[in-house]
Amino acid sequence: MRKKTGIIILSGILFLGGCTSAQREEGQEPLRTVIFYPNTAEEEEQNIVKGIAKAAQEALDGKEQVLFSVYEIRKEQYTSMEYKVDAAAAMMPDVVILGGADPSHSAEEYRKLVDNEIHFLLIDGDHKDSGRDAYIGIDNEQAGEMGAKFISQQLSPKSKVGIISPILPESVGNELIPASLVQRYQGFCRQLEQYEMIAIPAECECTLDNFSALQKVTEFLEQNQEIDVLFCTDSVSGAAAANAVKNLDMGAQVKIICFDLTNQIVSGIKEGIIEAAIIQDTRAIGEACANLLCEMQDGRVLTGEDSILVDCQIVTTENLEDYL
Amino acid sequence: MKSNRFCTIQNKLNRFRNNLIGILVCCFLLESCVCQYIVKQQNYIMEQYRIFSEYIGALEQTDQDLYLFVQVASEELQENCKKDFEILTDTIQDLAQVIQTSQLTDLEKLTKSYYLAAEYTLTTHVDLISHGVLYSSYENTQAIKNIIIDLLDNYYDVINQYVVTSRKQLNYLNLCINATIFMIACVAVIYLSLYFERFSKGIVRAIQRLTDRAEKNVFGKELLEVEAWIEPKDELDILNNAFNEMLKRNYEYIEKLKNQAVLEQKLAQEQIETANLQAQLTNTQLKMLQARMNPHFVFNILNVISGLAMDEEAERTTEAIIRTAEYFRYSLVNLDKIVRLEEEIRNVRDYLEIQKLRFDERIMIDISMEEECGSALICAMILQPLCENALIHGIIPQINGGKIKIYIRKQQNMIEIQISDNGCGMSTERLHEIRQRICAYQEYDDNQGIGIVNIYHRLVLCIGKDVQIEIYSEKDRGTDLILRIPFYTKIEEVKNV
Repeated sequence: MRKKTGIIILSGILFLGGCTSAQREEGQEPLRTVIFYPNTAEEEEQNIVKGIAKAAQEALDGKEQVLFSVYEIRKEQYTSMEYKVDAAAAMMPDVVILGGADPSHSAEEYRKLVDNEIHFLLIDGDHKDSGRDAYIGIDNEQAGEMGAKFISQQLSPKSKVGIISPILPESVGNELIPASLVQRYQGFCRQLEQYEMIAIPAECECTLDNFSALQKVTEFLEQNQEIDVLFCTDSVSGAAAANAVKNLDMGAQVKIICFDLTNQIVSGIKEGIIEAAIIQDTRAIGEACANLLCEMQDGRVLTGEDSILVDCQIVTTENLEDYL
Repeated sequence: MKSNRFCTIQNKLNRFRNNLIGILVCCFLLESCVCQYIVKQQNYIMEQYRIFSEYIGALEQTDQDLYLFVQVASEELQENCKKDFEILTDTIQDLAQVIQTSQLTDLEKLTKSYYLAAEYTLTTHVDLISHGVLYSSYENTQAIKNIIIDLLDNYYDVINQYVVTSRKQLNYLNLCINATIFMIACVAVIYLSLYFERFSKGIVRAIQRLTDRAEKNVFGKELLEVEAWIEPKDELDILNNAFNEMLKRNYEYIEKLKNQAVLEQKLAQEQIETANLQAQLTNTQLKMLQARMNPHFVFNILNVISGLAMDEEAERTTEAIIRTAEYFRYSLVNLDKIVRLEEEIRNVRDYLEIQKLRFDERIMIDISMEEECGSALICAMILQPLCENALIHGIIPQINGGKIKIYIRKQQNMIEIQISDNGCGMSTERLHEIRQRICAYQEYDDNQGIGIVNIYHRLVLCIGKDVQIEIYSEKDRGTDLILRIPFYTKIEEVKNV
């Protein structure tokens, strides 16, 4: 009799223990996260978002609490916030990581995400009003300021700077403007205000297409012979500027400062046509994303005010080898 | 722990063969199972491509049916669409269950979203029959379908990666299992080789050893050692035990034969000795008979002479004749008899007194005997020849004469008779010769030459081998003769001997 009672009690304990553990397992559904990056051409393989996505994927490898999906989509799809948001909404993930497009034209898409209870993290350009849960990356305005300081301190305090950007803020009305470019532009201009001797005689609006960008920059240089520094807000415009300067044989006169480290930019730096490139550490950003996702799964609640900032670096001929 | 269980060589060979077959069969079965498993798994992995193709096909079919449904609304098409969605859902569930990646979970969710949108389209048609709403709803499903189509390359990459990774893992598993099987086979082969080597060595060594021992036993000069019996473990042990048993019995038989030969030799020796003694006894008796030459005539003569001496008042002559008569009488009466030692002493005294009459002061006599020794039994006429020897060879050759001393005493169960003289003694060579003759008296069947040896022979014949005789002599210093005889007082004791 006593033996039977013991067996019943033991069975009860095991049953309850099993239920508890099952409940615990059920309660620990992995955090489903989605990130999209554009399928760039081979020479542009050092795409920032792709680098961040790969770094985050590597950092999350083996961590079962986060299901991290990386999608390569066409470039035109990537530049469409609507497409990314619709895809994310259809997939119903817990979190989506978005590369920044101009948030002022993506409010509806952001709202759609919020309505579908999908958290979203911004990288490569922040916009606090978007309703994002957190921003992870460099401070693009600060990066722009860094460019201005570099011109003042390292090049010439009396420079005449031409700004090259795929879509300039003045041509708003197009949702393809990445937020990061706008922020860099703004930061650069704000910092430049402090250097009275440096002027911006002209600005050039190019496209994200390499060939047309080259044409536009060439025309811009031919029309503005007095310019001795080109500040390019991204790698496409930077590469176009480098090719144009090379074609016009203006390397001795025009210095170029741009962003990101694509293969073309690396070649430009090596040839001495590009003076400096301001880059963001994609690995550090990717790892920061991974850590944040793990923390979210562990119960961290994001308030929308969170920004995880990673320092940016300036790459010149002297330190180029360190970043290859 | 070693097993002492008996196992025939045939059984051992059978066991070896069975083990070999067993291992080979096990390896073969294991390899077959592994091959089957690998092939099955490979098929299973490749099956995912088919399922994915089926999914794409189902997606297209669903889209077509849905389009038809929007164009020509009918319950049949509605049913078709539902069936298409079932296939679509099933295939993606199957796929997601096998390839558990985040992307396929996403695809599952996308399919679900597609289904929900489509379900709305189907419901909208049935309830509202409004083409405007219907088309709007259909566009939503199309949008989701397009997203799926756009992302298909990503999913295809995931499946490719799964296939590549799984095949790599499978190949690695196959390699590991094959290596393990190979290792097992190697270990088994090594074990069996060692087992067989040990087994064959054991047999060969045992046979060689047995052959060597048998050869040594037959042709060898040394005797082989008989080994202890051992608990047999196979036929060779039995053979070894049997060989040792045979060896042991052979040795026992040889030992028995040796003992028998020794006994027979001893018996033959004793027979020879008995024959010799018998011959000597016969010889002695013959000589004694010869000594009995007409004694009555001698006594009559002596009586006549004694009467003449008394008539002429010659006292010494009378005494000499009387003592001589006494001496002869004793000799004649007791020649081949056993007498008391006191009688023998008396006779010796008679003899010595006669000699003293002859040689006067040149001879001195000293006889002493312990009282209890007088009753001891001894052969008659033993001491007289010894005294005669002492007198003739020791005292008389000396100008000044000498002294004869007889001393008799009892020592334990023996009577010791010592006859000493201070005469001229004898040379070492002579003494050595006499001692040798005494020791090896049986080798001489005559008693000529040395009286002492004859005396000793007589004593041995009458009283037995316990008689001892010792002789010591030194040139010009004298001779000591010691005679030891057992102390018998009853004639039966002597006869028993």
